[in-house]
Amino acid sequence: MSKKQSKQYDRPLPINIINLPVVTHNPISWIWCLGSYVKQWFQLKQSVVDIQYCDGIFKVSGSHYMNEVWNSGFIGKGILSRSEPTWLHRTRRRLGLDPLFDESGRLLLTNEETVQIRREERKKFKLKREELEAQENYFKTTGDMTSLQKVTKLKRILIEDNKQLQRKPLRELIMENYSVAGDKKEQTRADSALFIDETHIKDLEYLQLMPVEALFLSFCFGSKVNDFDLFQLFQLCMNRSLEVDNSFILLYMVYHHYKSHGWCVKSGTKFGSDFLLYRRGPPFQHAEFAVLVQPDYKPSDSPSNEWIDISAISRVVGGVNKTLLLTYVTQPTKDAFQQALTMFSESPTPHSLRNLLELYHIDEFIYRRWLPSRNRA
Amino acid sequence: MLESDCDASDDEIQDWNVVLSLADQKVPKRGEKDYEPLEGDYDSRNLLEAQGAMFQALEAKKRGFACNIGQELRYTIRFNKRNQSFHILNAQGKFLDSMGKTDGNHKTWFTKFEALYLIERGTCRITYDEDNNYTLSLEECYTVILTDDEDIDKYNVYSHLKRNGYIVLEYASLSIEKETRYVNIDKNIHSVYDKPLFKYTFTNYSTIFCNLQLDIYNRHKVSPAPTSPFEICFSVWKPQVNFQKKSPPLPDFQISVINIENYNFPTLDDISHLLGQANTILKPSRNPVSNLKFGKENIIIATVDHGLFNFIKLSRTNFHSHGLIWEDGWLKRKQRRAKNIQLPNSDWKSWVSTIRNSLRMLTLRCGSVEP
Repeated sequence: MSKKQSKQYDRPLPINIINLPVVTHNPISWIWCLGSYVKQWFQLKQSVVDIQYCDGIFKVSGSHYMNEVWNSGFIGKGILSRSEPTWLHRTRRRLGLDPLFDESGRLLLTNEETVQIRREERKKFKLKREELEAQENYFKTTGDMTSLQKVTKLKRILIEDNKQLQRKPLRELIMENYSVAGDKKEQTRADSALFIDETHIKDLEYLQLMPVEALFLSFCFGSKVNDFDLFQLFQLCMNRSLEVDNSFILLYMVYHHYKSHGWCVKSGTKFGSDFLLYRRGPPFQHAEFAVLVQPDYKPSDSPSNEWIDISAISRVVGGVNKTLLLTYVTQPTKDAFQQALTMFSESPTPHSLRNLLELYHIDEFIYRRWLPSRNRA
Repeated sequence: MLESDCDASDDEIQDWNVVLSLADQKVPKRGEKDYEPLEGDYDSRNLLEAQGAMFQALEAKKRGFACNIGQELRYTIRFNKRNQSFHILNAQGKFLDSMGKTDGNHKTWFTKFEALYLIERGTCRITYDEDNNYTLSLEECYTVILTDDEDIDKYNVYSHLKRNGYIVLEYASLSIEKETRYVNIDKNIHSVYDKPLFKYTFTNYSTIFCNLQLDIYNRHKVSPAPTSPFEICFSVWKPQVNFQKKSPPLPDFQISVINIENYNFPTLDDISHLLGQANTILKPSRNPVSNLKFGKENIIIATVDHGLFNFIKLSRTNFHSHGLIWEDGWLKRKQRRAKNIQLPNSDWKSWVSTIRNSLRMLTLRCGSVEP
């Protein structure tokens, strides 16, 4: 993780704070601390990013706002990127408008570009390995054991070298193999439509939010969604069926639960679950947990075999080194829910939404496979 | 070995070379997997070699536990059909370390699973209580012993665990009161949901996170369903010497056997019911996140599907009592570094250090001039 990146992600929530310097026993540091507090207090500005809702999508557009939302807790997904909205950067570089390095010689690569370079390296390695394996097979059939040993040794060296290569900084890799820095590339007809003038292009990307994320931003940080009040937004997310067991409210309870305990919560569809939990965020480490939201009771006529479903999910989740978490949301009685809902519709404030949500209850269980042969010692 | 390693395959084919080479203290390396057959005799030669190793390993002199001749009575289980009870008179043998209960009349009593397991392994023979001469066949045993529908599932799980070396006893609910602990939530410092959060001034993110937490944890105790079909079946200990079957320590695992044809995945009530009874050894780890992953109460469910069984482990965990995963320190370290780079001179500390440096330079110079 480079210094620049950890600086970029220094807000886990869309809110600015006052950073106090370290206080020691020295009284001067107390004064320093106080001074720093007062100074920052005057400078402290909070900005709230507003969300647009159209065609069933919660959007944040504008490069600045997108980054603001993404950098404060990795919320949303750039629709033309893998996750972080980087389409503009990548396209500008492709069209030769931006260099590969900044003035101080630092490499400016987006995640997508890094992956591409690493994959190309991997492909080269696989080709070489395939060649050696073909030779190996040849010597196996001819029974030439000395040559076979030689080739096997070569293969081992190749695999070792590849491990070294994977650890090599990208900067060196690019210096050796790629001379793409700021090359003017060919433009297609479609590209020319992008240009506003010589040096500026249109930003086609927007950040799409999950409904739970939109409600979280609005509920806790006062982001406006169009000109809806909180109750209207809640209704919208619930898909207008204001029932106690609405699947959205179960999802939101779980999202809010983990988010408010400092976890970075992202969608878990990739691994057959509802959410993924990262300790700090996707740029820092892999997700630790995959969360499956469970209602506290089940309709008796559910057709699917849950043993099989959960076993399948656990295999997928286990295969990518994550822990499967079953999070049960216990619902309140219908009457209690209706009462709180009426209060909320009368005064659509965060306070009354909080009263509604606090009727629910959460239980968490870890699900893992257990093998007798591996638990003896 | 860590339990997180469970996912690795446990049904590899026996490499007989290992057995052979243990004799000459040389463990061979396993080769890489070949995906397609090769032309020529390379494959068949390797296969033949492996087969030879197997035959050689199997030829070794067998050591078993066939009953000692002349002491058959010590290894004869007497089955009383009316009481469904099993006992041996003056029993003797290693298996008694973890099986059976001896009373004052030198009779050792066994449960039906224990008895069947001993017969199946060939350790003991079984006769009716009244008639000492007729030995029941294994097929007869299955019929007369496994009378209950669920017995066969339970027995399969039991014998599988025993064969894996575990010590297995039938679960007797330990009357140890488990303490129920409630975590008190700090009452929120600000009632943040009345006013947008950014109207307040914070000096760290932990406080903000704590303010966001809803009061939804540990509030009411989930009362376990009294008529849950899920019950703990076996208490299981890892293989150990000096196991005391009369006063066993807390079990390492507890197992509930469930036929998936009859029961759906346990509901929240079922899981709470099972975990409410479970009482196993816990080894808290120093790493807080791995404590989250292994939970405080554990139960292993053996799911049986027509004779096939899989084990799953459910543990209750609590992210709330773990506290925040976010650490303000993540920012502090980086900020300090960043600050040093950006503002090298605006700090009283750097003034002091500049003065100290120049003083040191001066003394050094004086020192170098004098001699």
